[in-house]
Amino acid sequence: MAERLSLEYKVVLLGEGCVGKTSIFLRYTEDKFSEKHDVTLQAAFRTKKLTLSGKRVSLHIWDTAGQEKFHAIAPIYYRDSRGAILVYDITDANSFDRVKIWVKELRRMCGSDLVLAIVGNKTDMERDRHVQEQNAIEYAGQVGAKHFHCSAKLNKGIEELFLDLTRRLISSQGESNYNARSPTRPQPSLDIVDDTPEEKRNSCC
Amino acid sequence: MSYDEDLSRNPIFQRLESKFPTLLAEAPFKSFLFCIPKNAIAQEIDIQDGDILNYVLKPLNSSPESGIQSYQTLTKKRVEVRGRNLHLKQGFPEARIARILFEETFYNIEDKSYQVLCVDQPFEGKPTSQVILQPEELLDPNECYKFLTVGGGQNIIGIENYIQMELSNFLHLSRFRQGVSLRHMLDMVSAVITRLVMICLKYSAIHRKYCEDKSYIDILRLAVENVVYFEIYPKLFKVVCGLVSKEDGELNKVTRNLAHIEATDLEIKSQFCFNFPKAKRELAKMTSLRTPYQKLWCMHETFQILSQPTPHSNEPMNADDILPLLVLLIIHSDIACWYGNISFMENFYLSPLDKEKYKYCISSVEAAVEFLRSGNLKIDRFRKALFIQNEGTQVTQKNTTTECSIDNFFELIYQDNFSKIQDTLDSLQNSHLKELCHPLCTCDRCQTHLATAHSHRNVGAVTLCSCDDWGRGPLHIAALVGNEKVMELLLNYGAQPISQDYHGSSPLHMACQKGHIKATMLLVDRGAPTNLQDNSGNTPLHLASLYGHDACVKALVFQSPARKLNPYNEKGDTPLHIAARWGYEDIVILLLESGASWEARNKDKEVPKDCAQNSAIQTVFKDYIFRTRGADDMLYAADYSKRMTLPSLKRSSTFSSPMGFRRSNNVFRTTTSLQIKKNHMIEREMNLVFDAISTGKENLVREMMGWEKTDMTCSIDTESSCELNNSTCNGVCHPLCKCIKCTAEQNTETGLTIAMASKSGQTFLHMACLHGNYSLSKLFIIKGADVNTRTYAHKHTPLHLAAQYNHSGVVKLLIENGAEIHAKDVNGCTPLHYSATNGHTDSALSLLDNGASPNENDIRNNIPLHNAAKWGHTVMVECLLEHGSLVDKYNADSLMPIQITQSDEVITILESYQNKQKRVSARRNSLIDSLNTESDITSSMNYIPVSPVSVHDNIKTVIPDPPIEDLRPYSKSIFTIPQLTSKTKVEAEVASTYLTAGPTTSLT
Repeated sequence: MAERLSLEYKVVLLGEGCVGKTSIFLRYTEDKFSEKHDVTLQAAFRTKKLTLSGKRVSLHIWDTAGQEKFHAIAPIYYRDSRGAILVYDITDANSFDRVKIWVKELRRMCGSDLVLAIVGNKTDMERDRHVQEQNAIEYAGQVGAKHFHCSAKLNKGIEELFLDLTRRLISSQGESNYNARSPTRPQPSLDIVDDTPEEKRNSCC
Repeated sequence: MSYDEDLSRNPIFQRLESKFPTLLAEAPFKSFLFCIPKNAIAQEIDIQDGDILNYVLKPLNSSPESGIQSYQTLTKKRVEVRGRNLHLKQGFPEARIARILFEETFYNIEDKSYQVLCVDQPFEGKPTSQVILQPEELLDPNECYKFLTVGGGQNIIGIENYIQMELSNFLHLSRFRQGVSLRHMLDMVSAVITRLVMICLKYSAIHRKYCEDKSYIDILRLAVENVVYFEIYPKLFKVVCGLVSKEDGELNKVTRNLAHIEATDLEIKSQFCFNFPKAKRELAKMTSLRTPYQKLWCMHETFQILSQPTPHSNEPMNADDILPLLVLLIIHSDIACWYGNISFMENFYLSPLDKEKYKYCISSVEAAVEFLRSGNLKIDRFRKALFIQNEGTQVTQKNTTTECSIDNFFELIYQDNFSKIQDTLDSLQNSHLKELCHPLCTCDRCQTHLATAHSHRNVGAVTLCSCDDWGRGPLHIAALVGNEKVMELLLNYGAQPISQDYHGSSPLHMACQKGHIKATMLLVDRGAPTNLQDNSGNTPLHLASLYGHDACVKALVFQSPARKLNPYNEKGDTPLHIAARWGYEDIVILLLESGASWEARNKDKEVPKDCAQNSAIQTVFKDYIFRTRGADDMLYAADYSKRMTLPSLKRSSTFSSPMGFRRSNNVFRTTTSLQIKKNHMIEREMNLVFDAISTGKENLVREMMGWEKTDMTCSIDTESSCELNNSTCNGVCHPLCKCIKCTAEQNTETGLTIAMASKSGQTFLHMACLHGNYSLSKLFIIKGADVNTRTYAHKHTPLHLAAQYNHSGVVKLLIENGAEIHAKDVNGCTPLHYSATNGHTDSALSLLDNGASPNENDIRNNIPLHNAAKWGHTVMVECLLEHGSLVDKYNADSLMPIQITQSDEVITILESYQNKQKRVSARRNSLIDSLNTESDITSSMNYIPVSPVSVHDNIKTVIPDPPIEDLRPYSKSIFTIPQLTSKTKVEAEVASTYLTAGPTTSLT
């Protein structure tokens, strides 16, 4: 029986430290059913399963370290990823500049297939806004990304952000190209194993 | 999270979708939660439509603090969620616990979402017997075997033995060794795993299980994988590490040098450090684990421990905090092969279970490791250690004392404020004397001045001996900073390179630890002891090896004899153990080549090779051992063939002799690998001694020769009296004597003796004479060196060399000690010939004064005057003539000195001398003539050329110049610039570099 494979996407959260990447991440993946002590990497890595218009999707969401000094090692995190969420703080113009640097780097390293979302966080502090909304949206349009506003504190806009990202991931991938696991590294022996029992079963059942 | 299924194919969910579409439509608004038993159960149980409402939960008011959330089913039954378990409570026929396998978010057409949980138990009816094995339970390979044996629900006897047999066959057939590519190994391993999985599936019990539950295959694969890796790990892992040995070496160098880093240096919030020791303990298990799964699990656990909430804060930890913690953890872990481990975990974990989760683990570790290796992390520990602790006090002190305190002085060194340091040191020496009327004056003014000076001194002036709280003096600090200019200054002002701080570290320890090569060389040069041990028994060589500074190792090794390369520290480790453990390939090679022992065992009874973490280092050892042993085998073969009287092979034994010792002919027959090694060592040490002689380091020479310190204190003269008596029995009073001198003599393991000669037959005395080192020459003679030994090819005696390089003192010394004054080399030249050729009047005079004849012929019948004339040394010509040299001597080409000179001055001298002689002889002849008959005056005059200039023009091209050929081995420069004899020093240097080129190139 041909089981429907789920689509798996790796999504990285990038952005300067303190812009609230982790808050967005935690808010979205908030797991009501995990024990207090069982945080199992939950702080930085979670898998979210979705069923969206009849398709099963697994989002592997990676939170990354945003400090400037760790910038050089970021490729280790974002390699193989299908989508990236670039977070900035609307009250901090510098963080938006960092986003621009990220966009350039990602486009260079990962090509144009990468699905980008630029997110202005902390809309609850609208009166301290230092990044012009119009500018940000225009910039996102130029680089082929989609712009969102959200507030991790008030849990606003996050669900929509990920839903849209997932949609775009699915459409960028295309129906035909179901890619189950790790696109770069083929599973060495998975296929062979699957075949053997199949034959066996026919013969003995 | 490992369990996964497509819920849309689950019969219960399908029923829900078809029968209760309204419920699903309402779900997003009413926060309904659907619990679906997993597919395998859902197939079995028969659920009525009404019962399905039992599986729809509605949240009640809950108290999230307690970690318990309460729900009510649509049939008003109560369910509590604790952690990942559902507790069925009031209303259900029995209290039951169902585990949540995973949760999924569904979006309906309006993009509204509701949650679905997949659980492993039905809520009502018969509880299922199907237990999903968690992958964690397969961590222990014994559990894996157990799972394979009984996991199918039936006891499969013999499966364990069968697998082990397969694996031993596999290990036997496949060779994991250095040079095999990763892909190749991966294919071999995955092939054997596939094969074993196939074999397992042939057992009907396992196969039945597989048919029931497709996810069973993943667990089975994991079990097989673990079993396989457990068996092949010892062979596999080191080869995997060998592929990345370079990277590991670099990383280790970084981590060792950052070993004293603290959490604050990485800007880690203090509250997150709470779990650090526990995480470190967890991570320490890593090295003993054998399967990728175990290692990944260990990493994962470590992560988990790190990110556990601490009592000090409930602040959630995020990636920003974890990465620095991980960096710190890696530095403090004693794992020497991080890249190897990462590569192993990344490539060899083949199971798809939780792959993404572990990928994140690996990526994080990799990121931390890369971050370290990139060298972006530079912490100025020194500065912190020095100044931060004093900062508080300094502020208050600064205002009160203007005197130079020790801290300020160290600050100066740190800032490289050269002129100010010099001023301070100057003032140290003079200040209290400068303003006195007279150093011994005791007038009132001077007394008060002295008194105030002393009281000031108490406040905070520094001396070269003053030290800080850690017992470190100025020289320590300068060595730590690596400021060799300041160090030289301090040493010149009399700082002691031998001083140790509270940890027992000498300045040399610090320089080696920090890898300051220039500082190291300076200290070694100034006689800092290289074998001093600090409190943990480490010598500077240990530290240089530990911190991966190969340049420092080179500097230390180059200056010390092989017997000093194997010091033990507290743990019994030699530097070679340490270098092997941390994967510094260059240092390992360097130490081995310099003669460090690969057989030394530490307290764990390990030889250095056992410490090697990867196959690359092991290969280095193997090669080295093979080379020494291989040479041995070759020699045995040669020896054997000699006995079998195969003349064609006879040469090979002498040919393969590593060096041309004169004595080696008889030694050779009993050659063992030890002997070869020893010969190799001796050669190396002789080169070191030669080097020391050329640079005039008498102490080093004494040390190398085993004439230890006791000798050093007594002067050569006193020594000579006692030593001369001893010289007969090779420097030892009695073969069994245990006096200090004799034990030193006997302790020279390598056995350098004074009579040893290099490949070309040079003895130490030759070298000392070449460089004109009077005291060393004397020392060697006292120690029994033969003054008339000759080099092999050119038959030079030490006297030849001394004469050639114009060391008149040494010439005298040699003659006094019985050197043959007319010793002839291969061209028949006497020492005087060499003096004459080079125009060294000093040495010529000392030869002539001590009875050298100026008229000795060389092989071409040249007398020294020919040589002097040829090279135009006027003073020399005069000098020789004064001492009765024959002016009209013919050489083999029938030429007189006057005919082979190009210098007009020499011609005039010779002519005037000839004329004078002629006059004298004429007078004498006339006197004789007057007495006898007129005879053959004319005949004797026949040979005198009419015009000396024209003759010499003709002859210029045919002049044979044997002296030039003679000099070749000692200096190339001599025959190119014979006129520049005043620059003998330059020549000597050139010569010395030429001579010592051998050992230097072999080391670099």
